[in-house]
Amino acid sequence: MTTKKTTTNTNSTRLVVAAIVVAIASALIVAVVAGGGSSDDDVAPVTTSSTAVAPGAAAENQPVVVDGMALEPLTDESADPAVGLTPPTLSGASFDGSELSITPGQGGDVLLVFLAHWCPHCNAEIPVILDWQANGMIPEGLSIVGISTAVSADRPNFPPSDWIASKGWSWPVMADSVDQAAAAAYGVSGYPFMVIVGADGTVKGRTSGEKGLEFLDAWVRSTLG
Amino acid sequence: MDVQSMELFSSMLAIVASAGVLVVVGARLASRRSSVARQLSEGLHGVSTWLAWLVAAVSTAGSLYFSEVADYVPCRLCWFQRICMYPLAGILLVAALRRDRSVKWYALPLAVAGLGVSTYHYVIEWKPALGDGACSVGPSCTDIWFREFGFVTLAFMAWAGFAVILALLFVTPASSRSVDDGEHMNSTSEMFD
Repeated sequence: MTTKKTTTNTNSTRLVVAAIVVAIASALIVAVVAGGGSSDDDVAPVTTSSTAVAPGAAAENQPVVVDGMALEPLTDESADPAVGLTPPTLSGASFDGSELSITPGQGGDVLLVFLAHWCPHCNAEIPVILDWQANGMIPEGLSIVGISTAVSADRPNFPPSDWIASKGWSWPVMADSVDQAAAAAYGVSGYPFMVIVGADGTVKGRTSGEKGLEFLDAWVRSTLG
Repeated sequence: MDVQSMELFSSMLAIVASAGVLVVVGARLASRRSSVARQLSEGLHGVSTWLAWLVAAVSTAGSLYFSEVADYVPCRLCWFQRICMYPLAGILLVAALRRDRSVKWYALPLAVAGLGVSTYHYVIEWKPALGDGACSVGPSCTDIWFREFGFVTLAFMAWAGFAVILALLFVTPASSRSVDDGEHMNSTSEMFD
């Protein structure tokens, strides 16, 4: 009886092992045969080399010249040491190569919105900003500039130029450099990242992360004073 | 094998592992009424520690492949799951060689913690708003490197690995319970004689 049960258990074990081996082998065969082709997730390699982009040329990354002292990365929004400081001037370009500069103090209050095309929170935040605009809630005199950063060809929604246009973004967009010079200059610590620079050219406030419409409006208004 | 093939292969393994959880639990539940289920349950039990080690080893190798070969950068949650999975590959191998089923108690904290983290990671992949609200400047845990069959991501693979390890270690045939808990056979002499 015991011998028969032992034999039965051994046979059962062998069958289990055989079934697992067959399953793994089948998966391997299917993967080798079916894999390796193109898929919807495939993207062309990005040509955002660190070498200089020809002036005026269209590219997902553009050279950015930073003039001034970079802000420290934001760690505590309630006690941001960057508030009151003059942020650096950014001289860069849009996706199409047209020149675009962000000079603190020029053109009044400005809201800078740093966005990463692959970031789900950025994808959620753009409609919020558009709603903010559609509802007529943007404070008078406040201009908005987007900055596309952290570009990556093997992550979702590449290229960012198509992505941001498809989201309905209607404000100017600066294309950050491959090494994210603009983001580093403003102390970006997460995406999306917003900075309000006042008409006096100083940082009024910075915030990171996805915000709802009410929070966004309240934050902007309280920051502008 | 290129990266896409590896993604497909590892995704299918994750599906097999998930099915394995159902098989292990289902066989155990049906074993009192079905001789086939009982034989399956006992058959699995015979190699459960080795299977658990295999899952941990393949999971470890797979995660290293995706980070070191495919250049998918691990996020913070990925690292926590690695911390839970990598040691399991070592201790389960030793336990399998020693036929020490009490390893399940040592593996339990790692597997449960890993299961929890991978569950959270998988949830925020679908619902980023439930995360911390921002994508990190480094690798983001809401970023999805790939999603095979519409639902299999790296976080799902980790979840499947931890779940099947727990099932293999803790779901035992009723006839084996008195032998397993807190005991192990005279493994060394039996193994190497």
